[in-house]
Amino acid sequence: MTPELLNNYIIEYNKALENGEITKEEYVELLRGINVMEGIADDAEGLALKAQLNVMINAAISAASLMV
Amino acid sequence: MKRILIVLFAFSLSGCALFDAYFMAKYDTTEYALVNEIKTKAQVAEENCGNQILVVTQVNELYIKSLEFKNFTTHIPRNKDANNMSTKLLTLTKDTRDYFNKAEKISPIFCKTKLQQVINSADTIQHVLGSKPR
Repeated sequence: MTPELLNNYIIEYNKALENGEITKEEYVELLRGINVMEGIADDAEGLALKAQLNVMINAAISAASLMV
Repeated sequence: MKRILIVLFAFSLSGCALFDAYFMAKYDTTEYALVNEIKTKAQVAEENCGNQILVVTQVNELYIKSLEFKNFTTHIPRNKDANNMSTKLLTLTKDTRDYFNKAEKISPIFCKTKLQQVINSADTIQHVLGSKPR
């Protein structure tokens, strides 16, 4: 999750709180949710990198096999 | 053959990251289907934010499906990343379920935003699970 996206979420929640569209408890609950979302986004990024690396390793092995 | 062994040896020198990447758990249809179901259920629940009784029921179902997803990813070898994500998604749905069940009144904006968090997270997971090697 990019800092900009994170910031946008917080601005959106602040606005909803200021306008009285959500309660303080709901606001806190939404902030807790952002924290979990961020963790998921970090894990997803790690897994995506691993998948890319897997493709590269397999390509390297295929190329090496062709050279034999 | 000798060259393959050289390449493999070179990779092994680069550490665990390459080993983990090479032997990572492959794409799993059930895993993908489960997270897709969670996302869809959250989308349906979001549409029903005007009906608190219905949305509470659907949020409870969402939690059960997330638990199933977490349990499914648990004992698959070399699947730590997917398991971490499913555990966090379970936390998100459990928090949502707990809040919706204890609150006397839920603001429609909160309902939609909270379910959007579940939808976005499930979508992030679905995207990355779909990119796993076949």
